[in-house]
Amino acid sequence: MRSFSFQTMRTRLAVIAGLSVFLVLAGSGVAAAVWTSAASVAGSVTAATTSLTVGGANALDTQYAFAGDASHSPTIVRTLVIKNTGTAPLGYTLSISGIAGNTLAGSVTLTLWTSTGTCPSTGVGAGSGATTGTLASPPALPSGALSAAPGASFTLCVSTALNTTIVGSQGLTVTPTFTITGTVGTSTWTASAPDATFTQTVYRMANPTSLTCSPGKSDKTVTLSWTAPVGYGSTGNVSYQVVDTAGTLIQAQPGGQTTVSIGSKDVNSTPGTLFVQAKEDLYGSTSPGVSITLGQQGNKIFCP
Amino acid sequence: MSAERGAIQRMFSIRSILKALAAVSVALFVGVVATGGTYALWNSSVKIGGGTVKAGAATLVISRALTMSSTLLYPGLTTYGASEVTNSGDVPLQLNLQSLTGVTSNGFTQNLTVSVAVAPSASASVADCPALSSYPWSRVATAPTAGSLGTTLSAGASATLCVSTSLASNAPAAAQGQSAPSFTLTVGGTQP
Repeated sequence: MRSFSFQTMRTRLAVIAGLSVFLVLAGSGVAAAVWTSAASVAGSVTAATTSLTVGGANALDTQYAFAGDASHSPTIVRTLVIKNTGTAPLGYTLSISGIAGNTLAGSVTLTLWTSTGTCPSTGVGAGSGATTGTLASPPALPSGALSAAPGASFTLCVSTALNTTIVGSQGLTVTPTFTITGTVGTSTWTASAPDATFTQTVYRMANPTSLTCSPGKSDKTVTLSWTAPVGYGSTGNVSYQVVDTAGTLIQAQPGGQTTVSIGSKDVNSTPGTLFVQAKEDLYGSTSPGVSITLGQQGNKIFCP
Repeated sequence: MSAERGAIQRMFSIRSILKALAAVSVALFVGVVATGGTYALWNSSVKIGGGTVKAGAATLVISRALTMSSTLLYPGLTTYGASEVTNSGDVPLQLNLQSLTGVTSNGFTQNLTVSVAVAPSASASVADCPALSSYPWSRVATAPTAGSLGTTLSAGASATLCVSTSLASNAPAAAQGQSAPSFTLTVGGTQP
């Protein structure tokens, strides 16, 4: 028979006690403790900002004038440097304002392309990937100008050219404002440089100056005299014409002559207003005209 | 003498032990339930001889500090950071994200989502974080309720903790330049 010591008895008593406690705790449904631990990490995160700069747009100020033998104006090319000065990547778009209802805006061709260097000073052909529209209907930015990483910049060549003759648009003016907007994705995070406004005008012959009236050899005529516009001598490529308020030609003076005799029969109303215009001979640009109103009584005509 | 030993043997036979065990358990159970109180009333003791019991420990430590990307956030962008957590205790621990603190509510943080995941590979780096299939804990920074990280870390094991921060694509422009300059993530471990 196996011996049964008090040591064995004591061990079994310990087992009984331990199991009893376990069963009670497990079976009572009362909360039981679990071991836990925790540790922390720290970090930081900051949002980006958007901003950009556009340099050079004001250099597009120009007047379309005669260029050599061409009847059209030269193509004006200017360099815009667009830089993403923020800390987020930007997608760019171009919009032009200030052109609503402007007749000239649709007559100025606008061409855009990107360049790795300096843009040509005159229109010698747009670079590859160029986009073309008008000031009234601007083209999309070329592919190389659609986006930029933070800190990146690129050169955008901008050319403008009149797509009508000088005479066809003479005297017209347009003052567009270029706005290049940078946007982060499709978000409301945008940036734009201070609006770049410039003025373009189409050359028109200047009026003669110093228009004077003096009695003619009889009281049936008067003599009008004037001075040639600045830049045109008395023998330059300029002629003069006298028209009435309806634009009907009354007298023409070719070859730079700066006097004309007006008779009472030349005036259709009392008093009669006439305009003396200077006309550029080569391309036909005509000045608006300097007005003078003559008195009339019967077949007599008087200076004002 | 032999009769006395036989009686003692009968008293401590297996059947007797089971009966005694059942009786004591029922008695204790009834006592605990009936009182509705706490275990504080337990003040009796049983002397146990012949054995040594040593308590274990649950210890979770950050073995590599969190390094977040220095890239500034903008709408639609997610950046990542990584840390390492080590179970230096004696029991496996189920990991959870207990809290995100130190975040001031503003236009930026209201549109900032912070997500945490445990990389499957202990040797993973921050470069592996973008490829994780899911981030079990993902909260807007201003409403960071606790939640599970879906991972149990064995005793003595380490794991790479991936932290991502995302700015909503419709975050307002006013959020530009704002920040959460010093947030704290507390990772907890619970014995399964």
